[in-house]
Amino acid sequence: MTPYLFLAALAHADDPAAGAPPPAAPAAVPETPTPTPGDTDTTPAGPSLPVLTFQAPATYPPAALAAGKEAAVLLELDVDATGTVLAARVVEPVGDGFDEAAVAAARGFRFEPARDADGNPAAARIQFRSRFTVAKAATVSVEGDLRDAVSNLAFPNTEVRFVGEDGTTVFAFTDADGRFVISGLAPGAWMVVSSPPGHLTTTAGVTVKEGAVAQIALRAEPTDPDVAGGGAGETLTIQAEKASTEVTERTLSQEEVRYLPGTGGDVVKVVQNLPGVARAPLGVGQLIIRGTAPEDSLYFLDGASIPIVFHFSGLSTILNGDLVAEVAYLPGNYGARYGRALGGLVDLRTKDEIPDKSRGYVSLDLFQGTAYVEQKVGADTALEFSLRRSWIDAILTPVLQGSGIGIRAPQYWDAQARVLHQTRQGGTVDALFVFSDDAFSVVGEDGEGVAIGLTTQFAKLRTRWIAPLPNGWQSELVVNGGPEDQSFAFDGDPEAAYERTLGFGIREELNRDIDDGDGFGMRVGVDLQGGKDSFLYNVTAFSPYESAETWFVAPSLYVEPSIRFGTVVLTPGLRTDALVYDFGYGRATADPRLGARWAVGGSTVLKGSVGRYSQFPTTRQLAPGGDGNLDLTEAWSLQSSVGVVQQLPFFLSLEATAFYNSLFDLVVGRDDRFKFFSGPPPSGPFDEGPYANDGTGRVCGTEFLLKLDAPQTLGLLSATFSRSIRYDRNGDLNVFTNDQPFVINALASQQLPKKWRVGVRGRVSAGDAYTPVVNRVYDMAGRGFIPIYGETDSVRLPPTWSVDIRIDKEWTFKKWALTGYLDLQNAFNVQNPEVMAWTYDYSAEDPISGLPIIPAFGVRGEW
Amino acid sequence: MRRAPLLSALLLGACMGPNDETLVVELRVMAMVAEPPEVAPGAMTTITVHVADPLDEAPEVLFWTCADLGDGCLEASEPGLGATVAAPVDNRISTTRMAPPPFAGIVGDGTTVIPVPSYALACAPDLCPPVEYAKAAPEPGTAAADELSAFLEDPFTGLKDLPLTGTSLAFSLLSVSTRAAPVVNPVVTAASEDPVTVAPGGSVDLTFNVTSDDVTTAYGYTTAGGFDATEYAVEDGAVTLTWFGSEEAADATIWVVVNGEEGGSAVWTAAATVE
Repeated sequence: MTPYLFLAALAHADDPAAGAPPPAAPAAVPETPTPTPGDTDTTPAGPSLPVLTFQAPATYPPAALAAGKEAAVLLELDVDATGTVLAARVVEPVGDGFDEAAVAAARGFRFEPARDADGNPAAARIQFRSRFTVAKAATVSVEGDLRDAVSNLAFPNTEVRFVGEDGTTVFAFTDADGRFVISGLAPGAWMVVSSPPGHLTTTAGVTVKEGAVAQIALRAEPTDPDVAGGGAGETLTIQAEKASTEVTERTLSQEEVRYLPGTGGDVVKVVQNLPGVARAPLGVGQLIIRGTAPEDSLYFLDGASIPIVFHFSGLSTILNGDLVAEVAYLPGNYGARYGRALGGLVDLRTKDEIPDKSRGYVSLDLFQGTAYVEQKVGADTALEFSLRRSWIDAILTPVLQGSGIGIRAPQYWDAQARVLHQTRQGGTVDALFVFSDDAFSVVGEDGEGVAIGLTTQFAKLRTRWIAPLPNGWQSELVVNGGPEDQSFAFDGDPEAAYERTLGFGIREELNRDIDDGDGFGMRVGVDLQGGKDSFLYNVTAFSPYESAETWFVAPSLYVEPSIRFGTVVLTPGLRTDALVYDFGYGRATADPRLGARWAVGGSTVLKGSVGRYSQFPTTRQLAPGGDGNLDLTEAWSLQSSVGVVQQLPFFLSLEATAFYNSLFDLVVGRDDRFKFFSGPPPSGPFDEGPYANDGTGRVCGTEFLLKLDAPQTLGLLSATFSRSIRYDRNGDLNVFTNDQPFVINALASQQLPKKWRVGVRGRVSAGDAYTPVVNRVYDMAGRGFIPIYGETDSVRLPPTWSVDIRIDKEWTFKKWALTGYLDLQNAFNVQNPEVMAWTYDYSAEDPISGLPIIPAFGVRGEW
Repeated sequence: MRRAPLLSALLLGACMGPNDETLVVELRVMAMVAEPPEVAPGAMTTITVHVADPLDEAPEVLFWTCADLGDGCLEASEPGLGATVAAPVDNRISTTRMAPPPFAGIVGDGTTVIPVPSYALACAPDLCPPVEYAKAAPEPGTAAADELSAFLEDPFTGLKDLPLTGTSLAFSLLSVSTRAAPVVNPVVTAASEDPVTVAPGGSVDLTFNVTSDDVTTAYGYTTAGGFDATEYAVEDGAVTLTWFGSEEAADATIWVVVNGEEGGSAVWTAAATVE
């Protein structure tokens, strides 16, 4: 061990010549903000002294500053052989907060290390006097706290670095409550970095403005997950914008995502660019996750099931993103909390914090208009209202019909109202009402009446009570209910077909996060769904008549402990589901799961997970009133994955995951029946046999996500390489319809001077597989051609590529701000073949191209 | 390649001018008319197959009916009911068929109607093995006979092995019953003068009288230019089709097909000129 060179203190040695050279103030630190934290009093006691190379400005205690008090604090500093201050102690306490401020600042000092007799760097102990004078008091630039992202426990005495645009680095340290303050930062963008022990490095961006104190909340993800069943599952967290601060979160904050090109400013649509998500044809907004069908993935609102997450055209999410605190995207291998699906899931998690102040905005763009208000009522209650309406139909419908084209353009609208109350016990109670309506129609030849119409509508009232319990436990009770309706109008009949659910859901979950104390966490919950399902298919031109109305109940129970063994956390879990219909169907499943995480060093985490996932047949597949088969069982998959999360230099992080899913007892058959679909119409050939659990399949692949989260720059590079195959009821092997062997997305958003911002997204992906038409037969009665298909999904469309560009400009006024943007989608007007079609006689292929170049522009006024 | 996505499929047919679907540019079986269209088991009917051959490929037509009760085509094992091959004369061929006598036991109640598929496969020379097999009349039990039988029983599957161009398979349904009032074919006659001519790029209205007790729909096809719609409702016994001539002078053939909802059909065809 290198011995300390004890440097006897020279008190009051204000003369720089007496000790170290004058402190080198960082370029980003103004000359003026000096609470006199830089009066070094060092006396050499050995061959060479530590030389102060950077002096972090100390923060003047606010109360002392207000009272006009001044002080000088004598400190003793332990400086190691690298020049880092390992410890700072007060030699002569003066009180009034000066001691703590001086220690905090001193921890951020940097020295040229002392040298021993041989000239080698050596540790040293020196004394330093920190002076606080009112005339030189620096203003606070940033204050915040550093906590565990999961347990919310504070990190005391932990280094927090501030990195300026020119590379200047300033240090601060958290106090016993995890809070930190930094003063005297130059105006501009700063990156805040911290690496708490046992946690991944967390970074955030903050913009320092003259005369303003920026607030920031740093949340570090533990290398040992407490996320139940987390395994190799991935969660994208999109944090809510903190309207009352100057902060721009850099961890895919809502503010950042809003500027990403190609997303239309929609926080949820960014999920479409993440690994594991295939490109949805025609931009309809489906989520095709890990080689499964869109209907195999589920959408949740705070854990309560919702039927859709995007409006009909895929232009917008059904919920205003400003209500959303997190968007959890789980492509597979998720914990026991979730079930009833073979594919991935997206959970929109709403905010549970009272805002600092009221705010609102109005946003208008080419497709829609949005109004949003968040009103603070007292100290512990907030109201939120949002209303959004598309108006592309108002523009396009008269044009279409004026041209003799009998189509009413798609229209949608949604509304949300919410009241959130924070309880005295630290919990929250809130009620959220969500309504969503989509409509599309083709009018009759006379321009009147609806020849074909499709309506998707749902309303949900969701109430939630989150209550902290003793010993680190938390209770979350979510109760929701409301109608869901999907209707098809045909040939004058407004309800030629429909699927309706009047459902309710109750979820009670007790959760105790794993922590360093006992290394044991637990999640246990009851999830009950039920209601009345009804459907009607009276479109006999396409499909036989089917109808049913039935009550159902679907209870679930899940338990998921988390146990830490050193740096390894195991998360076993068990989920049981049941489904009972009043027409005489009952089925239960038990899905065991196991996840593991291993923290290797401070910046690497290895992940692995394996589990069983079940999905019950749909009401239509079971109901005797249609073509249902009561002998059907659940389809299930055995999902496994391994992955690594690696923090890299230069604000980079890399995630890589490999997965392998085996699918069993898939329900096949009745492909010839009328179906609701949100994407392109299904194409043949069809399995017209009765419903049966005769399908199997496999999906395997690798996913990569490289993320750059630097000051003023956000970049994502995601790549998915996968293969999804199915065996039909005859055992024949086919490529799955939604299989895309590769999907690569690259996004970048760069903030420019004068509040300009530019973003670019590029996307390359494999074309969809399709079944070729090898010949055709002419039907004399119908005077139309019937295709003769070749081998199922044996041909693939050409790869697709596109580039989106987005430019934003913000103007800030005294009480409000205005943002204008141009989102140039498909900027090079690439005519990507998205869906294969044929000429009327099937003599030639005639693929349908994706959207042409769309110069979407809009403005947003915010107060 | 179509530009507009999803919605564009719903817009087909909404444009003005000649409709591409009415222009016949390659070998195609245009119509199959049975006279009478509904017969009793064991009775005879004459089926006329109309073929368009705009590329002058000199096709041959394999014709057969196949009442399959689960053991192959009844006709294939009945003398005189098997497949026949002929070359069209004036774009048509006629063949006489017998409704399968075994159906007598099924339709004896006088109300049941059994649809029996009739097929016509038009092929350019030497493109279709089934045509060659049928011409050779192979001995039963030989490989050629088995392949021919398999094709006749399931031509949809057999078509996968034939080329897309130079072939045209079509089917219609012959009704077999003992009903007292069987379906009869409509009668279509031209109300306009014959021959038909139109100036290049111009249009002419062609009006037809249709005699039928059934609800009927008319379809027009041509080898030059095109009609303005893919189908026309026959109202008050008349229908008018607008023919747009091609941009250049050409000799053309026009077919006007009238289908009744109950299964009857009729064809009017004529040579036409764009000049």
